[in-house]
Amino acid sequence: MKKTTTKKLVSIAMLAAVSTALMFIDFPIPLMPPFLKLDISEVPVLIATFAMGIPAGIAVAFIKNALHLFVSTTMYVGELSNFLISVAMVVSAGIVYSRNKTRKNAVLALVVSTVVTIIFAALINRFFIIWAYVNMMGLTEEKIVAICNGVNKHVTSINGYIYFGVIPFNFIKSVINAVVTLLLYKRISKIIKKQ
Amino acid sequence: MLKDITLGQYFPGNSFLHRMDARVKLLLILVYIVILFTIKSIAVYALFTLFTAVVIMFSQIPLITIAKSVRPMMFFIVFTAIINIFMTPGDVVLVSYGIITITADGIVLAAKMVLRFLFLIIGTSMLTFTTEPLALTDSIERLLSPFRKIGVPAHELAMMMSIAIRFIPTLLEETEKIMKAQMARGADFESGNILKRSKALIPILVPLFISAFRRADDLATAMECRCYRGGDNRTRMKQLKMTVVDLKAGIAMTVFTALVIVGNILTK
Repeated sequence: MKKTTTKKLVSIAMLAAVSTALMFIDFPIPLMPPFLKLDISEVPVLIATFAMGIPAGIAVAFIKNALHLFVSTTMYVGELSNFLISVAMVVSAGIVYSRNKTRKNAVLALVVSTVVTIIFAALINRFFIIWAYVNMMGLTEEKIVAICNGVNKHVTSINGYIYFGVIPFNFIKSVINAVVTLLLYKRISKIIKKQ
Repeated sequence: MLKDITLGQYFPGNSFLHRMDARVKLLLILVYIVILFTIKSIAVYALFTLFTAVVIMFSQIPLITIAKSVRPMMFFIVFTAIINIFMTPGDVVLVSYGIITITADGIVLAAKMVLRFLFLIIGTSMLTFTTEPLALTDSIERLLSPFRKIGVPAHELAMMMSIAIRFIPTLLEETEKIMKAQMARGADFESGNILKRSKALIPILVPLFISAFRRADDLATAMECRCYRGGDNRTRMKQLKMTVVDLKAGIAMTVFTALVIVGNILTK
């Protein structure tokens, strides 16, 4: 019993380290404002959720964002929103996957978590994150809209930012993370299970 | 690019800040950040600048080192400044040319945001420059331990953070090595659409994850061999101790906080 807890603790820490490392390899997406950046750091979070359960996934998300605070470029708002959205993703994927740990169910778990993540992201952006950005960085909603309008002509209001910025961004991000996780998990699950 | 990261970069020394207890330092930095966000007027920002300058002096960290920790953020600082300069409406218009209008309010707001950004970075790097990563995670554990009653695994989180901090540089180096190895075999990470690019990452991720799991296995065995059994009754080689230095720092911070609050009220 003791063996498994130390093993689990170290594995979570290592996945968090991988996740933090992957956060530094980000690429911007066309048609999106510059503060929405795509990276595949959710992959270790999902792998942890699948291999070790929901608390492990949340722990990976927490540590990666806590460590990223030291190099925050968004006055900590980005890390907070990333953590909250990760928790929504982990909980939804974890609940579905834990019922039946098959490959088919893993696909279902990722589809469900993508949908939940997008809805949750849209809601917390509209009612909390934008407010936090406005207060922390001296912006106004008009300024955020103006920045987005510069790269995407469809954004003309703050709701437009949700529809044309937040939702497509989280869709692309979730799909990419889900696809990469699926491709990866198939190849490394044998190694995880063997240990 | 991967080498520029200043995460957990300890700068050895024996200054006032180095001798402070990590717990006290962490708490005071939190206070520093909180009061930074309450400031509204330029006069109080001036006071804050003075205080930060004194802290930097006391830390004996060379300015060039601090400048290096600011450099990766430069793009975002400039970006925030530009947005605020060009898009803030105001009564006093300084420049008006075509669609470009610059107002006095805009310049003031931009200056405030640049200062806020700078002080956030300087504040956190003061902490990481003068505190060993282990002392830092130790103090996080201590500060989180009151929350153990509501189920926060304080020791485990701190332990995982220490391990993660220790292995991030190793894994970054390994990522670079794997990328180069795959590029030598003709892998292409820079072209194609997003889906293609993220699929191209699989050949990097598989070895990276396998090596991470292997390292985890080795480390867990090593910890087991040394009878690691969680946080209860665990002793430390370096104990955290509060000394007179911490008392002085605490008093200085209290006085400064009071000054900022008074300043905030006066300049409202």
